[in-house]
Amino acid sequence: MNCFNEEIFQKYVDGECSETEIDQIEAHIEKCVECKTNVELLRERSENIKKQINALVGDVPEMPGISTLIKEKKPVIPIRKKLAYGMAAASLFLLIVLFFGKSQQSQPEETILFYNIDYEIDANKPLTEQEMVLYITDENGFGLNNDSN
Amino acid sequence: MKSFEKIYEQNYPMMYRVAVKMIGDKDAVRDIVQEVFVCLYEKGKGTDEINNYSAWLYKATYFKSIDYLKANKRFSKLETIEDRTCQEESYEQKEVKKMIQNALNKLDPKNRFLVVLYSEGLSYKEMAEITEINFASVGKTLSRALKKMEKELKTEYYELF
Repeated sequence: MNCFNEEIFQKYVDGECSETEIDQIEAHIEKCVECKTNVELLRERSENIKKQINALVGDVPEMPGISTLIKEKKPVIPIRKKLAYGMAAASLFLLIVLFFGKSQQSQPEETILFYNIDYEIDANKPLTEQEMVLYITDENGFGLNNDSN
Repeated sequence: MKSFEKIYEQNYPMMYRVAVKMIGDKDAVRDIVQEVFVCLYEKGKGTDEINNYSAWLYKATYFKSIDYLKANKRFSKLETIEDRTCQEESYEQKEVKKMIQNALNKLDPKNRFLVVLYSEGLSYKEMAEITEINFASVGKTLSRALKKMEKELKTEYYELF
């Protein structure tokens, strides 16, 4: 009796055989007890392995939202470009500072102040009690009198 | 390109399952699946070259899982407090799972992927397309891989088979 090999039986168990093959196998296993047992064992093995492998997974967790999955990427600026932009900004800032600094220095507002100190020294009094008057005036004679001890 | 959202909703659970079976680390699997979808999104923006999204996603999940395993082969996952406190599974169930995962890991990656796809209920034609194994050889390769796995499980845990 020509028995089929395990590969053919595996195909049969998995429902992958052609009509002709199915007829031949079924005709054979009706007569051959050993092959019938083999087919049953293969079927059992396949089902068992499938079941056990599927048990590894458990529950599939909730799918993460698609918006969290796909985020629009910001364009990446290369370091060289970043450096060039930075240098340009720094140079511009320096130029502005220099230009305005110079323009302010070129028009100085000059005020001439005059002062006059009026004091009398009393030799009998301590230094802290000596009196002194400081007159500060501008060119036109306007100003503040600052009294100081 | 077919609506990206639709592809995402239809394929996420399948990819999650495949990746868990391939690597066994559920935390890493989320990242792997996410990476695959980001890759598809980037690819889909410029081109329309993917004909079979499902097959592409299976393959991409496989390759990402293999990359993960290569990168982490020197490290073994520690049992977390969450794993320890999970009362739903008995000690025996956990041991069985560990043994199944070990038996799967002992297969070479391509055969492991084939067995994983088989457990997903795919036909030989689909498996041949995804794994790029010759259609005529799928039955033989699968039969050998299952036999090897069975042998491994029998020596580890004879009560299971």
